[in-house]
Parts: sequence; C-alpha cells; structure tokens
Amino acid sequence: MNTLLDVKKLSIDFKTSNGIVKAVEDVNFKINEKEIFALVGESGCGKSTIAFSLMRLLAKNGMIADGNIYFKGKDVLKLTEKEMFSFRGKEIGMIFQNPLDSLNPVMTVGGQVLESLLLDNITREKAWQKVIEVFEDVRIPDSKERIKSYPFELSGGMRQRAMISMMISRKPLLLIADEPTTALDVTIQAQILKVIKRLKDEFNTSVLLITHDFGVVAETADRIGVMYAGNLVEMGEVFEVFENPLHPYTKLLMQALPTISKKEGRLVTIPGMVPNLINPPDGCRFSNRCPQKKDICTKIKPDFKEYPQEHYCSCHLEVQ
Amino acid sequence: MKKSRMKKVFSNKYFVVGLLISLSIIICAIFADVIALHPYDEINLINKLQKPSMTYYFGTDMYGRCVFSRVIYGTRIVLQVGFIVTAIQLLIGVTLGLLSGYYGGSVRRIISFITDITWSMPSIVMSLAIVTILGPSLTNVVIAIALVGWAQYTKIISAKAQTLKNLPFIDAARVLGESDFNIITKYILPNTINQIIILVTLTLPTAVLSTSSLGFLGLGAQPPAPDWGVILAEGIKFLRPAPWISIAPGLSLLFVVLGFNILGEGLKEILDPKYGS
Amino acid sequence: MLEYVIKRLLLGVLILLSLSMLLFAIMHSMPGDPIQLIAGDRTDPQKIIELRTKFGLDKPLYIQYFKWLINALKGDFGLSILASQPVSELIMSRFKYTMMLSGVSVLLQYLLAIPIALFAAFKKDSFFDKVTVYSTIILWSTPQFWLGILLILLFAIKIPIFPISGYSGFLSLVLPVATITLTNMASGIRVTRSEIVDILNEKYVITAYAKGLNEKTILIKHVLRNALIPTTVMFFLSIPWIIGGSVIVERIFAWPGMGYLLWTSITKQDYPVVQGIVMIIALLTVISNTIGDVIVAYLDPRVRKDMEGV
Repeated sequence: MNTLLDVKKLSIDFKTSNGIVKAVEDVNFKINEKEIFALVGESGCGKSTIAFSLMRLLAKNGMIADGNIYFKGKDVLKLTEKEMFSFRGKEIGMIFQNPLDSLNPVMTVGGQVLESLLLDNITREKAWQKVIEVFEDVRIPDSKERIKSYPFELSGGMRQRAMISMMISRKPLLLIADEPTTALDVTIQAQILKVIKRLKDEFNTSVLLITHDFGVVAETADRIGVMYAGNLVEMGEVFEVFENPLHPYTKLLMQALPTISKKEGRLVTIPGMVPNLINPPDGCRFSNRCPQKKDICTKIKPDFKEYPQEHYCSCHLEVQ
Repeated sequence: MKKSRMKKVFSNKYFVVGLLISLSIIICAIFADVIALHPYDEINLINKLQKPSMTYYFGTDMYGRCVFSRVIYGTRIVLQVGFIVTAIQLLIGVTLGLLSGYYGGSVRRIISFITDITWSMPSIVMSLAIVTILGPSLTNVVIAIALVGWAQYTKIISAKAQTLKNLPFIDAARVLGESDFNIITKYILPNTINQIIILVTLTLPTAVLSTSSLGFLGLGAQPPAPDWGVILAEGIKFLRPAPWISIAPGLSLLFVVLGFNILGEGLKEILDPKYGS
Repeated sequence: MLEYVIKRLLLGVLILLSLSMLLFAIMHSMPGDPIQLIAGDRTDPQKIIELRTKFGLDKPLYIQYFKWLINALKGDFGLSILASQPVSELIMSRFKYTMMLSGVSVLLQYLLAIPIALFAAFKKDSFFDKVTVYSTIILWSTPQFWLGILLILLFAIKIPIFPISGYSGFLSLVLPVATITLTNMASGIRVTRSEIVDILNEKYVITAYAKGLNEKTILIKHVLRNALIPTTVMFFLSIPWIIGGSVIVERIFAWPGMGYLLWTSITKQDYPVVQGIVMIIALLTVISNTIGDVIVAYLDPRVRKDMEGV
C-alpha cells in the first residue's frame, strides 16, 4: 500500500498569555491510500490540533514548532500561502463536528457545494450536475430538491451528509473528519459512518477520523493512533491494538470501556489529571498517572518503538 | 476575592479614564464657586469679545462675561440634567419592563404598544413636539427627554425578565408562596442590574447631548443660564471675531460626553465578559 | 410574509393615529392663543372672530380633529398660522432640501463605513483597528451642532472654501453633509465592525478556508454578505433619525429644509406646521421600519421562513 500522508516529528505550540502551550510534541504517523485511520484521545489531547495543522488552519496564536508533513511526497509545511489555497479542498478535505455551525446559514447547501466545484474551472451547468451527483453519492434523498435547501431546513444527519459531499466533491485523496458523529444521535451516527466507509471502499478516499469514541473506531477504522497530552502513545491496526494494547494508557482505556458482558463491578477510572502543557513534565507525560511507573519514566521521554505487526508504542516498559 | 475584583476593575483602561473625567466634572460642578474666576452672569461691556488670556481663560463673550466661568457653572446644569433624566427614565422604564416581562400577556401588549408610540419617531422630534407643547424651559426639556427615552430600558429589562421568570428558582419561590411583588423585587430585579448599569452609561451621555441640543435651539434653558448649548448658540453671531465663545462650550461637551462614553465602555467590558472590543 | 407586512403596517397606522390624536389634543388645549399672536393687541374683536373661524378654531376639539384627520389623509394639513399658506405646500417646498442632505449623507455613510469596518475587523487589534475604534468613540461623543460650527469656522471663515450658510449648489452641500456623516458614521462603523468580528469567529468561515476558497472570496461572499444583513437594515432605519436630526444642522447652516421650518415653527408656535411635520416624520419612520423588516426577510432565509410561519 502506498503512503499518502507521512507526518514526521510534528510539534505544535500555542502562544498564550500564560505562556507557551506545548500542545503537540514529536508526533509520527502515516496514513496509507484507501485506509481509515482513527486518531483517538481525550478532549484536549491534541488530535484536532494535528488535524488543523495538516490544512495549515491553526489559530493565529498557533505555530508549528518542528517537523514535516509529507503529502504525496511534498512537504505541506513548505508550501506558499498561495499554493495552500489550491491545496485545501482539492488534496485534503475536512469536515467538522457540528454541521449547523459549519455551514453558511444564508446560502443553500447546493450553492455551497457549487462554490467548491467552481474552483476547478468547469462550467456552471456541469458543476450543478456534479452537485446532484455528489449528493446522491452520500445518499441524500431528493437530491434535485435538496440542493435548494438551507442548512437550517435539514436534519442533523442530512447536514453532515451535505458537508461530506461538499468536501469530497473535488475528489481529495484524504478527508479529515473531526468528530463527525459526536453531535448526532446514535442511529444517525451509524448512517454517517456508513457513508464514510463507502468513501474508502468506492471512492478510494482515505479518512483521518478523529474521535474519542472507541465504538466508532471499532466500527469504521483500519488503523488507530492513541493520543495522550499531545503525544502519540500507541499506533497500530485496530484489532491488534484492541486485542493487545501495549501502552498502559491504552490498557486502562480499554478497561474503562463499559461492556455489556460484565454484569457487575465498578467502572474503572484513571486517577489523576492531565499534566499542564505549559510546563510539561520531563520524561513521559503519562507518568504521573501510570500504575506501572518506573523511575526512568519521570526522567527520560520514551521513544516511539516499533513492535511486530506494525504495532508502535512509546513506553519504557519491556513488552512482548 | 474583593481585592482581586477591585484590581480587575481598575486595570481596565477605559474605566479608569472615564472615571477620572467624570470625577473632574463632578468636582467642577461642586466647587464651581471656587474654580470659576468670575460670576457667570457678570456683565462687563468694556471687556467684551476679548481673546483668551490669563484673566479670562476662555476669553469673554459679547456682554463681557467670562466664558470660562460660564462653562464651569454650566457643569452644574449638565450633571443635574444628566442624572435627573437618567433617574426618571430608569424608574419608568425598569418598572414597566419588569411588569411587561413578568406578567406577559395583555399587560405586555399594552406596555409594548405604549413603547412603540415612543419609538414611532426619532427621539429628537418627539422631544421637540413635547417642548412645543410645554413651552421652552430647562425643566420642560428634562421632562421631554425623560419621557422620550425610557423605552430602551423597558425593551431590555422586559426581555431579561421574560428569560428569568422561566428559570426554576422562580418556580421555587412561587411554590414557597412568595408574592409577585417580592419575586419581582427580590429575585428578578437584582439579576437585571448589569443590564441597568450598561443602559445608564448609554443614557447619561445621550441625555447631556440632547439637552444641550435643545438648549442650542433655544428651546431649553433660557439665557442668561450658562447652559453650554445656549452659550454656543449665542456665539454663532460672533463666530468671526470671537470663535472661542462657541468653541469652548462645545469642547467641554465633547469632553464630558466622551468621559461618560469611555466609562460606559469600561463598565461594559467589566460586566459583560462576552463584550470584547 | 405578506400577512406579516400588512400586520406591521396596520400596527403602524394605529400608532400614527394615536400619536396624532395625542398631539392634536394637547396642542390645541394649551394656554396661549396663536390667533392673539398674529393679530396683536390692536386688532378689533370682530377681526379676531373672523380669523378664528377662518382657521376653524371656533368648533369643538373633536370635530377639529376629525376635520384635520380627513384633510391630512388627503394631504392637506391645514393652513400655517404665520404664513397663511397651506402647510403641505410649505413642507413640500422644503422636503427636497432635507432629502438632499439626508440622502447623500446616508449613502456616504454606507459606502464609507463598510470598508472601514471590514478592514478594521479583519485586522483586529492592529494600528488601523485601534485608531478606528478610538475615532468612533470620539466622533460619537461629538455634539453635532459644535462640529458644524467648527467646520464653518475652519473651512468657510478661516479658509474660505465653502459657503457659510444657505443652499447655493453643490459646494454648499459639503459642510452640512460632512457634519451629519461624521457624527452618524461612528455608530455604523462600530456595529458593523462588531458584526464582522463575530462572523470571523464563526465555524463556517473555517469551512470556507478548508474548501480552498481564496481569502477575497471568503471575505466578500461569506463574511461581508452575512454581515451586511443587519448592517443594511441599520442604515435604512437610520434615515428617519437623520431627517429628525436635520433640525440642528439646518439651523446652523440656514439650510432651507424641513428641519429649519420645524425649528422656526416651534419658536413661533405655528402649531399646524409643527403637527404636519411631526406626523410626516412619524409616517416616514413607520414606513422605513416596515421596509427594514422586509429587507431582513429578503436577505436572510431563516427570517423569511420564520415570517411565513407567523
């Protein structure tokens, strides 16, 4: 399989009035063609930040402190502003959590998709045809009527489909989906995940799926990366990581998932709090909460080591 | 807790500057007898139309009166008017707003209709109409402006009261048997204080500008009262030989209104954190 | 939506009627006899009775009101006590001058305020933005009558470019329009800037960037277009206020408009004229408020659907 996205040693800082927040530190991961890669972690762990950095849409006070982002071989971070405008939407698309806020409320959904398509120099007629086509691709019913609807007239699920159609209309090879189902209820969630899977199966689009919901991951993703406090602590194929979690954090997360099979017992929680990222601790950022902490953990940062079956983990402990 | 709150309040540039300016006006008004060099109505035809000098800081007008002293005494009119107008508008507007918001239904519709009449034309036209009816004088101008402007209080307080009355703690109070009057005064009114303060900071400068505008038109305070609008109007005929007669009161007006507006900006930022400039 | 507009207009009419009744009743029951004013002390009583009949002041109040109302609906506001000319003629001859000032001023404000606000909001906290914010606070606090006088002093007396007063062609428009525009523009800029700042923080702006649209398109098609909805309405609604405020500017510049007429009529207690002008301005206000609502509905589909549901 070919590598589509290769993120190397990515570090992102934010300037705040209280100091510099080291939001993302030394993250390395790859996404291949025709693959759904899930990036999971708690709120604030940096997963959305990484997503925005891939599009170079970080907030004004954010900056990429180190690293490279190779997309189809080219370093995205070295593109000029002008080249970025041609890059976004065409090479990589992005959908967001709440489609009601993310769509322009006074433009028809059809019009917003049209706007994207017209960037590729086709006639308006052809573009409108494509709008209807792409609406059908994401299974929006009555597509010819729906293109004239405004976002507030559509249900949550429809809106999200409209967003997806907008962002895949120019056939980017990678779609970033930032918590696409978090704001939807469960039945609609399933539908949207189906759409996302079709993107991979039928349209050869890879997806970077950002979520905090392991159920979504199990349902949809091929590979998974686990983030904690700005670090990527574990990465691998979904079933491998679920069956055989290597990092203590991942292990605890798995245990914390309520399962229907367990009839009784207490819910497992992880004691302690995420460290302050303005002055991150030396050594492993999880060390203050890790039940298997050793001396070395508080002093030296663990490397992101490779294990059999393309399973990666960043921990000092010896693992099989 | 209180100390850090004080610090936050006083670190706001707008608030501090606005407060200083407002205080300086108040001081001028209170100590006018001391600050002013001459009585404001002292006629001295020999000295008429003199340029600003060490004796007459702002020069003299067509009757030889000291413009500086007139301006200083004028601060009294400015402050009195500002506060009285604001107080009347507040009383009428907040009361009607609370009633309208809390009771809703036909009470709200009636009050809404009356408010709409006040809004049916620009406030200056309305106040002109009232002054026409009552006759030109400072008192009538104060009444006119107060009657025209209370609607803004009503609209905002009514909206806020409507939101508040649906909150659970009001239901709890009713269940406990609190009378409507108590609910409105003890629970709803205190939660509208922020809105009221912001409205007051908007009303004060507008009241000052409106009164002096009407005074300028000759419909407010009558000469020889040192109303700044009146002084400015008197100075128009002498614009060429003695521009200071009109410039000085206008500049002072700008100073005062600016001070109140800046104070208002500061208060808005302090009280409503969402309000970032 | 038509239903909504009609409802609003009916409410407006009701308000206008109440207003006119109120004004009429109070004005005509005030002490002070305008007839006496014109007639003076030396006219004989017979003449005074004649004058009274001529102005219809001998009939009971409610009949006077109905007569006035019926005539008003036909456009006849009675006779000016001072000029012995039909009020409507008097007002109409002046109307166009006031519209000149107000129209040019509102247009200028709209054209100037929007780019300034857009630039300031986009470059928030920059030097330009700070200067804009401070200037608007100062301008907003400036008394209009003082600014007018200052402009006359500087540009008509000290540097005699413009005429001091009166209407005399294009040049004479400059100073009065400048006075009105400068003082009123400030709040327009403030509000628009604040709207745009809010919109720039909206998520759909990020979406627009993520789609690959270029910055100019985003600013104009997404940010500005959305900000213009409340802004356009605001400028439209400010028209009656500018007309009302023209009393002051026209007084300073001796501009032959409705505002100047209003001022002279008030000082001389020419009630029919005052009543006529006040009612016309009220009518204009009601009309512009209703049009304002229509504009919002036209531009914002969410409001349109809301209204249709009403």
